[in-house]
Amino acid sequence: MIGMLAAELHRMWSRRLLRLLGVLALAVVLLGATITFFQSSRNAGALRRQAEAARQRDLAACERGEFNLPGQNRESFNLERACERVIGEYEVPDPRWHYVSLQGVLLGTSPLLAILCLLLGASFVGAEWQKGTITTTLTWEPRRVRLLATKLAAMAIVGMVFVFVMHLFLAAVMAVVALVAGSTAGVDGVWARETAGLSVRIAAVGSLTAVMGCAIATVGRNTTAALAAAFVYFAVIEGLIRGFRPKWQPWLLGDNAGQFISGQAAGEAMADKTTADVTLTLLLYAAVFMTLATIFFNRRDVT
Amino acid sequence: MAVIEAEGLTKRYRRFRKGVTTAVDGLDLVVPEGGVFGFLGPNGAGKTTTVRCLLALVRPTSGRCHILGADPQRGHLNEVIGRIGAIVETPALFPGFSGRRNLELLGRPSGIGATAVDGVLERVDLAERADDRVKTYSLGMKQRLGIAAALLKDPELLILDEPANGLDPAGIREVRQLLKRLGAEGRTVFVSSHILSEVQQTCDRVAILARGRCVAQGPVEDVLASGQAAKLLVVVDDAARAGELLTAEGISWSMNGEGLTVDLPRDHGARVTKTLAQGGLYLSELRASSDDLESVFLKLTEDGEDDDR
Repeated sequence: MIGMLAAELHRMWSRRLLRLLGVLALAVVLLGATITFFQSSRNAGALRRQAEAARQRDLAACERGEFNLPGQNRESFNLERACERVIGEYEVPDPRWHYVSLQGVLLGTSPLLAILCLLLGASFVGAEWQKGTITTTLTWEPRRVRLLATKLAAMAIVGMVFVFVMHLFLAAVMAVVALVAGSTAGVDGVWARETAGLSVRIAAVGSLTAVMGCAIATVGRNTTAALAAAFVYFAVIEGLIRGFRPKWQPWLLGDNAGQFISGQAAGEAMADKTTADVTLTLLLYAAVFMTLATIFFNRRDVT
Repeated sequence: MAVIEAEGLTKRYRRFRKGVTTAVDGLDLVVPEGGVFGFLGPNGAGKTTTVRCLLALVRPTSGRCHILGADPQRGHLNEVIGRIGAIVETPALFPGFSGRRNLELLGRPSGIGATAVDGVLERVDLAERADDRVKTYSLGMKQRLGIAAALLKDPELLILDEPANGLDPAGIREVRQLLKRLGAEGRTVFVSSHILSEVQQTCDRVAILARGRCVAQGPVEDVLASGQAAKLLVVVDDAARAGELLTAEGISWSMNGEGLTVDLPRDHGARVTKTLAQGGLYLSELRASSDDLESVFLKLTEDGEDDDR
């Protein structure tokens, strides 16, 4: 079993799509980091000076009576003080990138990573059916359940590792941005633990979607069919259910995955679900997909 | 001992809108141990489906089969798969990987190392191109790589489905020589093919399949003999007169380019000689009509090329 798993992982690693998606994702991370770097590098002092100049302009206009403050025509009215009160201090946002917001970046990129994992899983098995290599593999390992279990395990590992590699790269690149042109304020042990936990949860969802992609492609024996099915489910069916059957929302895969990652309920319908509930729901989905894939793979002829 | 046995093996495919297609129809087959066994049949005769049944890739509708004593339909194939090397149709390997990488990945779970991979690549004459991607290989090279994959386990039984498909004459000759060598080593080589000359030149035994049924099987010479029609070829100076004499004797005949074809088996030559001699005609030549495997094959399978299996 270990030898088979190693062979499947090698096969997966040798796939061009994995490398292509990996390089593409890393390039997107680099691009995002570069943009953040330049935004973060903007001079905070200049921004403060600009804000102060704008404040002084507004103050002067107010004192010329251009703001028509209520009661400004009364004799006892102190226009200067009233203007100071009305305009107040102009807040200058800190333009620097704060490393603590890495969690937000991880959350924001999690749907994209989940989709990439789904694509990887679907294409891994879909290509085997398309090229006919599954036949060759079965002439070496005729125990289909064992073979499929190995493929699903390999895909789960690849999905998880893919997400971790992306997160590590993202964290490293953004750390450089924060150290050179941003801020690391607020980064401490608690934050690091929370971020690591978030990364693990996103990786778990990546692993799940990779396994799902693999399972759907096993049933449909085709990459495109698997991707189309996933698209129809996430883009159409889940939307319709949210719109017309909100009571069913606690059973939606997307909402459960979202709550599992963020720890926050997606709407009122999900408010009663605990983290344990959503974890169980996701595991149930994984079990259903894997069982269906096993039944189809085991029963159907390979022609 | 039989390495492959099939008894009443039947496979029907149910296809949406196309209804039911019978690919294999009550096939009885016995492949003895050792040598090269040809599994001959026209396209669509059910050869590949039979191979797929033997390798548990498809589930027979009825009947049973055994391979090296194991019943594939009961999940026992795993017990013997390490002794079987197989290619089903065009060998499907990963086109983006090199030939060597493909073989390494196949062999890794069975603990087959780099030395064995190098050995089989050498054996099929692919060592020089082993590190090139499979998609750059010619069809012949892909076939040879498929054979290399089948040989990787050093199998007792080699199942090759149309191994000469798409090969040029030189490639066909190479495969033929390789199969003969493998058979001579004591392995059993089960080759399915629709190329008659290949089977005739390579195989010791043959089974002929038509419309999913085995219509003849045994040593190649026996099948040739059994398939031959009971006919004698008679060459005589006056063919018309000879025809009259034979008709008078109640023997049916027909004219051919050389002389007469007489509808009698080869051991009835004396009767023909006597009849013609009594009529004052003397034979220039008398011989049994000899068919090659192609003629036998066409006779046996003449109605078997309609279905696509």
